[in-house]
Amino acid sequence: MGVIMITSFADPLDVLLSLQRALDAQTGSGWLQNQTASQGPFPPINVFQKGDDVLAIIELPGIEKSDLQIQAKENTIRISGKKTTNYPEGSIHRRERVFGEFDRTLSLPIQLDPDRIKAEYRDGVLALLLPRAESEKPRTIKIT
Amino acid sequence: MTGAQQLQVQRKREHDKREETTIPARVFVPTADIYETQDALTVILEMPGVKKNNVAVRVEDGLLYVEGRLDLAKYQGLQPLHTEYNIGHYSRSF
Repeated sequence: MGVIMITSFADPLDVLLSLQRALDAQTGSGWLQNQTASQGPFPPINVFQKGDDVLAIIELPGIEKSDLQIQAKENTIRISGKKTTNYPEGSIHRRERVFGEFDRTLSLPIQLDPDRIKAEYRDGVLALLLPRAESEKPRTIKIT
Repeated sequence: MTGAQQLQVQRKREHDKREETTIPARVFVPTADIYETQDALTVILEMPGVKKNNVAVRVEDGLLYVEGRLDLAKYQGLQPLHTEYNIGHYSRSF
């Protein structure tokens, strides 16, 4: 991507608005275009750049950590799992939340270092820190 | 309810404001499940990204208000590359 977006959120009142605008502006970018076949569109995912590395933030409310699997290989990452209901006996008045299984594979345009991937699931949000492989990082060439 | 059903993305519904807010940022309506057992009525709301202590629940004139504020610190200094959903605070009343 050629354009570098300046997203410094200095004013706390403006933080959310500028972030929402930045997210809107990026929707439909071709960054993750080459996706593998075995995937559904769930869960929705936002990808950010954090220094040299990539941070994927995925909204996955209401899932047990044990029902979530993450696999990484070269430049692909697979997120699969299931969301289950456990309602006690009684009458259900409203059901808007969705339940079922999901399996999504992302192909990133960078090589990953699978050993250094960090996954954190907190407050219904899965954050994956995807470090760029050392072999991909630019090196300064010493001039002799 | 079939267990093997593939999950579909639910588009976030925006909150229709009755009053103007001070900043034009978006607020979303969390999806909800409500069920009743013999001794209680339970409301489950999905507000991904909201910490437990940033949820405000109050009952006023027979209305239940739930608000969830997003912690934006995590997004500090990040450059979006690819996005599929937008973020915002949550608010809903019953």
